[in-house]
Amino acid sequence: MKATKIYNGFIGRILVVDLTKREFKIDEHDENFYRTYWGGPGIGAYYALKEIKKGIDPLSPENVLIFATGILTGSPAPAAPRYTVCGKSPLTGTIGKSEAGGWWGPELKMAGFDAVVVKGRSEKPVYIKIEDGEYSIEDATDLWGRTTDECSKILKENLGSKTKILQIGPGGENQVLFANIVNELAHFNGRNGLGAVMGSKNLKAITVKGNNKVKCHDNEYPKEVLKWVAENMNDHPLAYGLHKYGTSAGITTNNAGGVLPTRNWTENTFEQANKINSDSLESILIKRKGCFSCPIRCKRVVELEREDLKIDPTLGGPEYETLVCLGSNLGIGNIELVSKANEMCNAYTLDTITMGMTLSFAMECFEKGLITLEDTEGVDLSFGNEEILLKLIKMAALKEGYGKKLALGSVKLSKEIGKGSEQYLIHSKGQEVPAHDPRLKTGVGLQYALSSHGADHWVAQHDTLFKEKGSLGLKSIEPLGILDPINVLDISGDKVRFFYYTHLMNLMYDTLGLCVFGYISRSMVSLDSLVKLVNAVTGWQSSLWEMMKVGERTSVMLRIFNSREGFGRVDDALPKKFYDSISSGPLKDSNAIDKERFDESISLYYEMAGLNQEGQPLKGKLYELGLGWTIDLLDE
Amino acid sequence: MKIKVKLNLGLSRYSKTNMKLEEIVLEKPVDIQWLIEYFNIQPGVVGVVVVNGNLGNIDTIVYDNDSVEFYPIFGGG
Repeated sequence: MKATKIYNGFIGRILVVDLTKREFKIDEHDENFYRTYWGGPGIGAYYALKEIKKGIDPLSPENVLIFATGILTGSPAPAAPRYTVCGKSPLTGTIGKSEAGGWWGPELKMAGFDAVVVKGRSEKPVYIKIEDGEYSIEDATDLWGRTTDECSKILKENLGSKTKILQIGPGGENQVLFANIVNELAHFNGRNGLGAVMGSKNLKAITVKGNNKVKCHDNEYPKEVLKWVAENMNDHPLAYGLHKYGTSAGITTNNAGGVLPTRNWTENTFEQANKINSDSLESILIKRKGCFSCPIRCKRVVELEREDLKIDPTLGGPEYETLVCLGSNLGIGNIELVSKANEMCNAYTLDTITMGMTLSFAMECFEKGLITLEDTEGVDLSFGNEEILLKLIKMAALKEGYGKKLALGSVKLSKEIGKGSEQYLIHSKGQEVPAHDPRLKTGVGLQYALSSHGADHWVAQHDTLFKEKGSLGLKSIEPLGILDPINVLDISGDKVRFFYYTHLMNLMYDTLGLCVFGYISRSMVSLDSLVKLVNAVTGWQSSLWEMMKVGERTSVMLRIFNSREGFGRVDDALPKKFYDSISSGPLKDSNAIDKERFDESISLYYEMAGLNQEGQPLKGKLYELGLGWTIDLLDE
Repeated sequence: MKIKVKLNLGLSRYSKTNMKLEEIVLEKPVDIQWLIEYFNIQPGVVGVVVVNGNLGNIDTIVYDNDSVEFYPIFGGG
């Protein structure tokens, strides 16, 4: 069944699936709905607030998963491949929110839907099949238990190679609390354990196939911008760097700068950084790969054919976060092993950041004597022990042996260990921090503390891009009214303002389905061009002001979800680690964040954002954003 | 006076000699800002500066026989 009205940029149809009742319905919202919530986390948060009751168990049938494309997803605009998955996170208990690029989002739109909302729980393993406006629930009994590459092969043979597959591996099936979701084998909704929610619903995959191009008001301008990116990216230092080195360049730079997380963040330079950096990756790199409509091609494809170690190139190469979390932060300097570990996490759908950080936490506990060989069932958790890495990843995915403990994530594991082990945790709201040290850039500290879904390093832009007058970064955010260089170590009202504005901008990007690696400030397409892109695709007369307001509306909706679940100011906290000085390397004994000033910056943020001092939106702010309907939710 | 400058990762494209490691002859000590402009690198593209193994910044002065390393900005990955 096809759409009854034809829109530009979006379809106007959201598929709602009830796995318990095995029923479908189509929500056909009007254009104002899309102009209010746009897409991605805007639609995700809307449905999360409407459909997920307060206090539910995230792994129960009462949880709801929302897979929502952005307004520009699937259009010819450059670097617009993304969709967001929202639901209640089993890792944090907050709203879960995770974006992925790749190919599934655009194909969903081409198949006739802006989003898929999944409720209930199937009695047995199933997958949802969507093809050119038609949909069904299909048996997945023969797919259950298979790794992502195995499952993909079978589904593509049955459904055709054009079909795009979003799925979980055994990690998700076994409801590992940090299991993630993958599309086309190498593009991940990486964090928050939303793969475990799919597993709890016995939902193995959602396949999409569509032949209808996304209709745009004006196709030519987006194509022009795409062409401009392709022709000029080599002249743009940041875009060029992303293409040539991917994110692995961060290993070399951060190690030189004394901020490379090493051995559960107990050290800040890694003596074997040269064995996990972009130069070492060259030895197994076979090509660079990208997402739908993106010429940047930041993804690495790696392959190894060795008798004792094989790496499958279809499962994605390691990014910076993985090189740290499965490399330096475990004391492991071995690019082939780390790449294989990455491949295994991907095949089983485990978040490499939480997997690595849970392991590094356990390693520190082991080295400090809080857990013993008896506790670990004979596994030697010394830092740098290469022999245990691959087997522990598999054990975590299958919840076998000590893997059953690791599958909890570090925070719940710490509760089981006790003995003061919580001092070695580094998390916000229950999600482990990624590999960026806020003691080099305090804005990232604000990101970790204020993120709605636990520690996340792309909640706003990174301070370091804006520290110099005349820099590309600083010039790019002049339309936001930020004109002066950002002091990376500062915690003041100016830093909070910088965080607040770039946080709204990043969320706005998410609602559009954009990848930050195509747009300012991390890359090249300007805000001015972006406004024109939105208007070209949708036919709207939008503005940067309206678009930032969409980001703000989304931010507040995410916050309402958390408030209703009982999260407050005490949870908007920076991990204690960062109130201590950097412990080693060129920045040794420096850069500790001042707690009192940080707490004050949280208060300032609340004031700027129209929140009370518990982080709840004020009534006036809700009405200002057109969210009057959420007032009753806050009173629940 | 002579100094050595290593242009790491993507910064090697700014080399005047197509070499990652360059030797530069100077009349007098200069600051890092001068060196960045010498290589025609835009502001904000150099993320980390190391001089003789120690972290520096754009105001750091370099002298005869000093060794400088530039690393590109890394803004999140």
